[in-house]
Amino acid sequence: MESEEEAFDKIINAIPSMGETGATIDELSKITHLERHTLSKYLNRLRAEGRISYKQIGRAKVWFVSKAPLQHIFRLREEDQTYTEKIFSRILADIPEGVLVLDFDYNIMFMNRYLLALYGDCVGQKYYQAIFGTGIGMGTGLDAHQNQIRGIIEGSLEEIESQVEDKRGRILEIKARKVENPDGSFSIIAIIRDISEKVGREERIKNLSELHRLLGESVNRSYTIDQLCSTILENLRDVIGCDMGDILIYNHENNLLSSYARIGYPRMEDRRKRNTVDEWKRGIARAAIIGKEPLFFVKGKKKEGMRDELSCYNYASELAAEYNLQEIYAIPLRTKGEPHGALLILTRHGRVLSEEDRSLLRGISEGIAGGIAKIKVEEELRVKASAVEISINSVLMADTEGKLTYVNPAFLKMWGYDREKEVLGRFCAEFWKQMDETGAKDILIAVQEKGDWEGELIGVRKDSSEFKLRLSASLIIGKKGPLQFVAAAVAE
Amino acid sequence: MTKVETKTVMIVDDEPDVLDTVAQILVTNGYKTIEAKDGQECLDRLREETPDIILLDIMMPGLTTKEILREIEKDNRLSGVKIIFLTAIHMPEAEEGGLLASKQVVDFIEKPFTIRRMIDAIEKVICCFQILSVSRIWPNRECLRNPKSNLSRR
Repeated sequence: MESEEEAFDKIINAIPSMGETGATIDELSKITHLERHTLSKYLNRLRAEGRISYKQIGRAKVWFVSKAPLQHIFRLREEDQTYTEKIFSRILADIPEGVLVLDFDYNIMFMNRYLLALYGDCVGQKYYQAIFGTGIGMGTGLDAHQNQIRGIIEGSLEEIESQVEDKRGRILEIKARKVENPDGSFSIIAIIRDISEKVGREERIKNLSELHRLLGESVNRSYTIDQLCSTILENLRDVIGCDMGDILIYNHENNLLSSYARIGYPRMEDRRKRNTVDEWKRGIARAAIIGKEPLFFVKGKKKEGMRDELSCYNYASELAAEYNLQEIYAIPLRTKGEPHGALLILTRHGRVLSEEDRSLLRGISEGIAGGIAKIKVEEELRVKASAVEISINSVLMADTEGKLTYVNPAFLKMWGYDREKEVLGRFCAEFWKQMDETGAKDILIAVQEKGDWEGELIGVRKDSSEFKLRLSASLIIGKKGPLQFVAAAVAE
Repeated sequence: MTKVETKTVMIVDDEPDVLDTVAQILVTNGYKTIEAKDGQECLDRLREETPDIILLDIMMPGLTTKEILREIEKDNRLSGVKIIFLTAIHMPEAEEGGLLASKQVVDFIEKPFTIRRMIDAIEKVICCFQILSVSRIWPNRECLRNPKSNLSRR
């Protein structure tokens, strides 16, 4: 009984003997004395190896020997290859991108080493099944790509480019075009690249940009730190998909960490237990702030940054046991020179934070710290402004021309006005005169020249009545120069 | 009667309005002034004159603040000159950038500031000069600390 290889040789020799028009299966059966069924099997094997190809004429297939099929070169043992074939096959095999050749029946005729490493040897298999684990028209999201390949086969498209997910979740960038073989048959040659990492990176950048956008929005819209922290945690939960989270803020004055927002925790009635849990969280946050680096706790493992922080590790273990957690990630919230607090992100058992998620959290942490610092300053300013508002001493501010830009309620009361609108925009010189009757404008000149002024004046009320007052004024210098005057006045 | 020596203050700021206003106010308050619009002019003027105090802006075009400080520190003739920063940047950033490391830097005033705050800072330095002339020991930087200046380190 002849071997397969002998049968293959017989077929390869028989095809050209029928002339340039090719050979049908019946003609080949007569010449090779092979059963039609066996012959059909061998023909398909030879075609998969690229050694022969066919043209469909009506219902019949006419077979030809592939004169220089790409795949055939790679099937040859290296010692059987010509010098040029050797160089060519080495270059193509080692190219750092996938090279795939398909016939018009979606059979994989050739794949280079890049693709062999990803999918194993799939030569002879159907393209969609081998790469995507699906058939044609299975409605798996591959439809657009399948339509494009069909477009190439039908001649409506010359070249296509698509981005699709393979059966293992890799993102592939596929560029394919039709090529005519020297024997007149057609193949599809595809360049395939695994761009999962690039897409992941782009996704991370997109998520980070989105988080920064949301953070900017939150900072602009928030009035208090609690409000800001709650919004940040909600945004993080939407983007990262964590189960629970906390933002703890460090108070420099009393050296304490306080929880300003939390998300996802089940209600805990027992107050003592709640305090204990809060203490654990403060312990973890404190360790992250002191260490100036994120701490990553994975249940059952001592990991990153937890080496010498035994108490922190204990706190994390207790917290994990209490809420059935898988991971805890504690990130210090720092602006350039200052710690502001820490962000805790927790996942329940069975859910993990990917390196991308953690990188995203590290990336956004300085932004969060900056936002907190900004709102903190605004809160402080509001408190100070409140002090000015409730002060029994009059306070006024004027621009460099001397026009009033701000007065506090005590000023209105002292000068007998009801509303700010009545005084803002008017020259401060209208509200007092100097004891020696020289123009009050001199005070502004004095402030401009000397930087500040302090002395007695005669105030002029709305009803023109007069009163003695003591005024202290100073010039304020901004980034670009003199900004305004600020003055405080008391009635004598 | 002891004659009070007029102190010289150098102002270095790239904003002409700040430069003019501060200089004019200092003259009215009895100081002699030297003006420089950037780091290079500051160093050029320092070759000719030795002020008692420099009011130095951070973030000017040309030489960096670190470069200016390095040049001043290198010159023994300028070792007694005290520097007060007048700047729009915040103190933690300056600290992070190592700008407060120089022993000659004695105060940090964030813009916007009141003239009273600036005069107080200058007067404190002068007060320390007077202590120095008696004790020959420059007082600790903390003695210059204005309650609002936050120069203490965490």
